[in-house]
Amino acid sequence: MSVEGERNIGGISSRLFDESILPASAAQELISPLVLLRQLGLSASENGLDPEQQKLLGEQMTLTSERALRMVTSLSMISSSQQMLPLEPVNPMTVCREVVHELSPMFTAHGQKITLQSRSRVPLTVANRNVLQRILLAFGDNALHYGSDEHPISMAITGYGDIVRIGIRDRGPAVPTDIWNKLEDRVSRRARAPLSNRPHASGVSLMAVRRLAERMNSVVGIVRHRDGATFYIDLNVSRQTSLL
Amino acid sequence: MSATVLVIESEPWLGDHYQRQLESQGFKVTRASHAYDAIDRVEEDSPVAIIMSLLLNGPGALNLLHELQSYSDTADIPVIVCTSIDELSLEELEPYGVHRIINSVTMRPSDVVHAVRSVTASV
Repeated sequence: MSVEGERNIGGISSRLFDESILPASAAQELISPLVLLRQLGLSASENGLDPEQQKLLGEQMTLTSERALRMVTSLSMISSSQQMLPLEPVNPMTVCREVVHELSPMFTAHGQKITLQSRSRVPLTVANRNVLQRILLAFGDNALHYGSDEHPISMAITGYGDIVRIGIRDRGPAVPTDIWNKLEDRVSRRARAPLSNRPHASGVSLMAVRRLAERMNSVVGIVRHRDGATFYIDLNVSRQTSLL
Repeated sequence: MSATVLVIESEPWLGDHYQRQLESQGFKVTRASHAYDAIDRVEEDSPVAIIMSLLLNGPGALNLLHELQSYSDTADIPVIVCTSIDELSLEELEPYGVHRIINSVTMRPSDVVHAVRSVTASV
């Protein structure tokens, strides 16, 4: 029997990138939003719903399908290109603002909040803008159910010399180290086992994230906290403008 | 007085859906999104049945089922599991107090109501 209710660590480990298990795992993970979508659709077609209820169900169906589409888009990106991605100087603050803006309706509909924290001046980074956006959206989706009124999900941009780190901090259950090892073992043993120890996390999206990050010379990782986790991406600072 | 059903579901919109179905058939519904909350709800609301997902935030569903089985006043509450994991059999989960498994991939909205009626009639 699988160990459920523990926490997903999101495919950061390289063993989770075994191409042979990706399709099966992706199919398994897509079931969750599709199950919800189907039930919402069945609810919407029931008699006796007032217009307000129908409108609410319609909004929930839209947001659920958008979330599933984000996951499919990430998977599509890693399967469509095996090459290094074209890189350019990217303002991380602009991308973060766009991501927070895109995710906010989903968070609001779930009674959650996502905020952006940053120092005043953030250097340009070397990245592929679209891919960076996809990665941060996946981090955001991953954190959706792990915030609270007191502790909203926070996206933060920090700097470490030549590196800019964009992290999304949540308040999900702690991640014991041994779970990491157990997860790897299970995934390598049995492709159909649920990848995600964290119920609402999209392990497959995070697998895609790592692969996409590699194609723009970036690194993704996780910092475990007593009361949650930070999923992050480290980006190289662009030196292009400093040469001008 | 209406019988109370505890719905334990981390996905709030799915929980809303189950709640709508049950309330439309006269049940009172109490909700929990994780195991800790579920223990409190069981103690305070004395549900006649529990509907739960196997994918819960925090301590897992099996931990919760084990906890419920540990006490005489909660061990007899029939549990209905809604899951998309089709490899689970009722024989595997019966020792944990599970009376019914509903496949969430193929379920119809009224299935939760039928399941609650069938398990509460049999206890």
